[in-house]
Amino acid sequence: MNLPLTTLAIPRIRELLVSGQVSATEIVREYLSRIQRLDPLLNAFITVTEDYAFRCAQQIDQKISDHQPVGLLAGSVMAVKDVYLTEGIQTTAGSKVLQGFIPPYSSTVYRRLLEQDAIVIGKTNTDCFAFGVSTENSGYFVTKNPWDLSLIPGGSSGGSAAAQAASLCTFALGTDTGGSIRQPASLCGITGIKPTYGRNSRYGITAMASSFDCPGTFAKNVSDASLITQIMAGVDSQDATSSTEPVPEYLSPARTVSLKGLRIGIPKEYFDAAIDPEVKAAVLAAATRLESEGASLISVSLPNTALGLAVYYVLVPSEISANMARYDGIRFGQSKKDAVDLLSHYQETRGEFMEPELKRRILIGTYALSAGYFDAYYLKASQVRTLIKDEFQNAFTQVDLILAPVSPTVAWPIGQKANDPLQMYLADVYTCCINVAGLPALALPGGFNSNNLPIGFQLIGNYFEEAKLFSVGHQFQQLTDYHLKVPSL
Amino acid sequence: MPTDTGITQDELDHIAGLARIKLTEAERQLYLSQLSSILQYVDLLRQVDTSAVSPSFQVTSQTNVARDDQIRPSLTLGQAQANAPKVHDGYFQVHHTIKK
Repeated sequence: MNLPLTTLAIPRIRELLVSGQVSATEIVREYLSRIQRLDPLLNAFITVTEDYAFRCAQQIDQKISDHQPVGLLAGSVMAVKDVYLTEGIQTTAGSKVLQGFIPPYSSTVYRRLLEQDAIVIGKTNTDCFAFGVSTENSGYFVTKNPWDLSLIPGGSSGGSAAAQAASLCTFALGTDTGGSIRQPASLCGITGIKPTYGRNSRYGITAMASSFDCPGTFAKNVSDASLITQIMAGVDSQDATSSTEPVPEYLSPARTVSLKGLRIGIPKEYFDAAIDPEVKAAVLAAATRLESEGASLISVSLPNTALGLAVYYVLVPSEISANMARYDGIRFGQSKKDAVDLLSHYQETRGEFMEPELKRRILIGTYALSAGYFDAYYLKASQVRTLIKDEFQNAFTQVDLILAPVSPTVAWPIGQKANDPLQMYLADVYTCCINVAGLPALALPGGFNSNNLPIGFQLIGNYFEEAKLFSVGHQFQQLTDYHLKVPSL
Repeated sequence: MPTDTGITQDELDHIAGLARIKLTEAERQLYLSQLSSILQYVDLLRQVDTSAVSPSFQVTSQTNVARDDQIRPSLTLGQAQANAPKVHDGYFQVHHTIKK
């Protein structure tokens, strides 16, 4: 065995485990020693679940020595964004509001992964309640980009993305409400999937914007991402918005899409003046690579793209303001002890423990939903949401999928945008329309800029067309080696 | 329907009250300017003619998802209250709401 265990993808590590060449305990030990060495530099984890991981590993080793069957993810170590409820393991959502909160139950998708013998190694940093694009809004600390420790990793799932990029886990869970899986994947040079809204259950994940939130995963490659999605996906009686659409076999020969004749849409609005020239060049080069395999590149127009962010920053804060009402310091969460009555208890608890971005978004949402403003903001944004959905549907009558940049720039220096929330919001300009419409999108490494910083691109599919994205993404990774590049740490 | 794009200090204080958030003086200043610039940005939407467009409040085609009204396993009282700052005889304890 020449390669370090921490570089191995899911099928290979399972094969070594099942054939007795390595034990789950050894795998956990190797990941933990890497975490101990690198996480002090990266700050990817809020909680490292060392004892829990060893206990799970021992159970898996026991199953193997007893010749019992093991799950599809046996030997795989997962890092979990700290917005997923994990029974018995602290879940903070990256906020001081939930510091010390030990959930009494687990999220559905996390539980499904545990049932396939994935081992949780820790809970990762995130912007508070996933509100952000850089992890700088975390109530705890800022995560660093493994490619350059002076840069942000992206966000909000920045801790998971950094852990994945630095090989501190086999795969890592994130959530994507406006780009929070794809953008950090792009800035950290890794693969990340945001499935169709409703494909993965939201049950047991701290709610941000309920009509936008999508659980999904980062992985070493598309093949691993498709396997994890296979396990996460499917209807859940605990989430009434989870889809009853059957889950197909994602990466199988039967579902292989031929690149020859594939119609790939290139939306001109995603290559506007805002995009960094090196990012644009790399994304177009990825498209050309697919064209050289026989795909045809077709220019499409999504004229309401420029409105997407405005729609997003009305509807999402509105849903946030409703969802955050539960943090009252009475049933769970941090609580102000010395208030004089119930009203001041609410006001002082929320005033003291909520991070600035949390308050900002609650205030925007409360304003947009308040008497006299509903029609001008929430209703108007919901109507423009229809226009954005419709124009994607129109584009999909001409093309099989859409290829676009994820982030207008590569990772930027920590602190650069920290005092200007609107500039920060603009980082989601190429990702948020996909959430407004509820479509699936797969972020893939597509090259590097002149400073050796990763550049990603996304493949956007029509509803429930994850299989098509996985097939094309997998073939792209057979043709290129960007996903195999790792930061020198 | 509002005509200006800014937000006044009174409006900010009102919505902070509705949202049950106590703001410090520094926060009142900061959010006044930040919220105004965010609201000015989203005013882009006013340019769009949506007179003939129905709103999308969600993106699934599912409506009225129901299940049988049957008792299912759930958390025990102890589990449900394990994270509560204050409990009393199986209840969540709160501050008084009515003065004697």
